[in-house]
Amino acid sequence: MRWIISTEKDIAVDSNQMRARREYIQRVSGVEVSPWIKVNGPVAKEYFCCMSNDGIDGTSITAHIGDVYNLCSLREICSCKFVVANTCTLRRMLGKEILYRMMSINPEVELFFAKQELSLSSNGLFWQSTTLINVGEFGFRTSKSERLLYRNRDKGLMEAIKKSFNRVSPVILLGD
Amino acid sequence: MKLKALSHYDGDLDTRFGDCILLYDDNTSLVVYDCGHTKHAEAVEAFLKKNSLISQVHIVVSHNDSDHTEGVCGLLDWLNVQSKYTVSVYSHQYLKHVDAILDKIDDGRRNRDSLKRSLLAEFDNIKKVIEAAQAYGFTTVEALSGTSVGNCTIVGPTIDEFTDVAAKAVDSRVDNNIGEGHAEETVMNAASVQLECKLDNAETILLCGDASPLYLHNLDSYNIIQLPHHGQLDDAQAIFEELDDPDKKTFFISDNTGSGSTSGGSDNLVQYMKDEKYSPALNTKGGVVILPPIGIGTVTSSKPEGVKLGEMDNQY
Repeated sequence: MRWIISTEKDIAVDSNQMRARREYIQRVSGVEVSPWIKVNGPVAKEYFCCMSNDGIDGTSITAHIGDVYNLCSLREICSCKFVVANTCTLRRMLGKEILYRMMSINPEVELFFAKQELSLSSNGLFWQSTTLINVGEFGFRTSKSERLLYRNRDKGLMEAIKKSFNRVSPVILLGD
Repeated sequence: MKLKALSHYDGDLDTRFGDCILLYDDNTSLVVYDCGHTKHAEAVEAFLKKNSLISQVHIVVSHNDSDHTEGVCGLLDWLNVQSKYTVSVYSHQYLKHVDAILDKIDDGRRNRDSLKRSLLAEFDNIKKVIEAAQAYGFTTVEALSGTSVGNCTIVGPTIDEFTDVAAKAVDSRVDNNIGEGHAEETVMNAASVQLECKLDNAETILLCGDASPLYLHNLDSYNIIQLPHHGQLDDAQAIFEELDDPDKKTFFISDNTGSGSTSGGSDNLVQYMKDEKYSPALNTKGGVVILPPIGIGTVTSSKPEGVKLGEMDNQY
């Protein structure tokens, strides 16, 4: 599985937190993890990336939604079996929009989004958000879904992802 | 309010001192939640001597076990001798619910009088405390949900829950546990009186003695939660599972269980929380716990805000 982290200072923070993130990935995947390398994304941005040697054909992205939106337009990302977006969905339907764009390249791809909470923006609008906070003893700021993933790690990585993140359905349902 | 949870004494980690948690918010009243040892009673007395303006003492007996009650009668004796305190004692008063309990047992063999005798025998420590309080002319208050205790409030268990416990306790036909799996507790512990208090930093704490997690409600509404039964692992796991986001909570353990082989205690839980990367719980095993921590004022001490992963992306 491929693990992509934004290089933004508020997410990657420092080398200690990146080291803790890598240890976390090792614990949740249960296998060896490659060192972090910098990779190029779209619109001339760089990201940190590492691989866990678990044979799972998926990509996890921890980044601001704009970065996730852009990364999910890449053929290399869409051709995975699934993408885990550890980010905000911001507004209803944005998750489906991203999934539809990915499905136009790979109709079989699945998308999981981090669990969201309702936040109030400075201009008084509610939006769906995921917040990375420094709680627990992880050594880096985690989202609620990341913490759940860790606590479900004994179930196996794929099952833990399904329990800790929300699958985006391609079907539009009442209430979406 | 401020909280001071008492610990062991003189480095003695072998003796089972049991629980004793003090809550106070001004110079006039003190809430004592359990008093499991004469040493704790002496510490409460010293606290009252030091805070000489306190005139009202509220004592909550969470449940019948001696590690929660052993020091209460001695403390009542001392309070009586001082004759300067208004004292109220809060506990379950099972005899007031004989009819409901009789309905729940429904074995056709008991009548009200025999059930009363069984209840008094089963809840013997509470009986002693109530009798001592009444002998001294102190007020005895039934610890029903919604009852105010100074500036704290009893929030559980419900009448239905504690009469269930009483029925099971005296009914030899049924097993002696409440709840299932992680949430299983002995009947004696299950219906511990639960107390909610608002601390000076605006955080709300739930004290729950040895209560069954099954009887703990609205857990997400508290900032700080006592992990029941001196930090028993199964109970704590049930609470973690119940919470929406347990990492956002602060956990507190009153573990003065000593070194006896059957004493229980929090060691397994401490290791579990470390393995699962929870922040360590505040634990009396390491010494007296004071909340809010000294140095924190009356302003809310909130967790760091964190990074919202959409803040820079309003165009989407």
